[in-house]
Amino acid sequence: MKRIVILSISCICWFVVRGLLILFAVFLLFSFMDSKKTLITAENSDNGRFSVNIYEIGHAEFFSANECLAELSKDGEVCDSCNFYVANDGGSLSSGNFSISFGEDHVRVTANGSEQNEENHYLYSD
Amino acid sequence: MNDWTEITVYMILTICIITIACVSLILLRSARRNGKSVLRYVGFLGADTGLFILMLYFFSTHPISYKFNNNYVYSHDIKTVIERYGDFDTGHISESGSGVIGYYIYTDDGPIMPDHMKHYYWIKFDANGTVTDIYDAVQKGG
Repeated sequence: MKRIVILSISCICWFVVRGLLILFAVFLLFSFMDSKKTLITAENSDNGRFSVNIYEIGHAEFFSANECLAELSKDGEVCDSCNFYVANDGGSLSSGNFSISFGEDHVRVTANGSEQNEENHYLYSD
Repeated sequence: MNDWTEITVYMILTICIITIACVSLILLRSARRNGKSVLRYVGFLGADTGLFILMLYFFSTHPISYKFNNNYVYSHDIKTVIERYGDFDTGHISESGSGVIGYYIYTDDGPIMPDHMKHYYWIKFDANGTVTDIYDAVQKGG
């Protein structure tokens, strides 16, 4: 009986002291491996030739920034893309976090989050 | 299965695997101290590590939904994908053969900031039937 109690206590100690550290490490590993691509918003140019898709890559860890990918397509083919982060307090992103404006030779993607100022990213068709 | 349910299942499995590893290590140390055979516990630890690697592999190949293997979809043409996963729920295939199709995966009723919308596993492909993009999104037009 004494042996079982000692064993149980050591199990709990092991889990609390080292298990939680391992769990945290595993959680970080999962976050690193998380490649889920979620479409946040998409917009087409007036002439219909260009389109911009903005994706969220993976999930934000705790209250950190969300990784995003903006892709510019010309006639259905991706011609430019850029990765950036949006600091939104770890919350999920929506189309309200982005505004897209089509220029003559470029597209401007403006990202805003609850913990950052507006940030411009440019995509070029050539 | 909801996105949150899927994450919870992965977390529970991870906790179980870590607990088994911790208990196996404690029993292994105790067996060594008492001069008993440690083979059984080494076996447990090995099986546990194998299970963990399998889970990580499954997680990396099914990042959007547990139902769909991204590696398989990327490495096969759209006809083979439709043969395997059945008729798609939404989307279209144009006359040229390119298009985008969607399979229903879950409705977001999660505990934190849910959108209560149906989410689809979208597969985009070109005229040759080669899959060019896979992503999770709601139906076009909301």
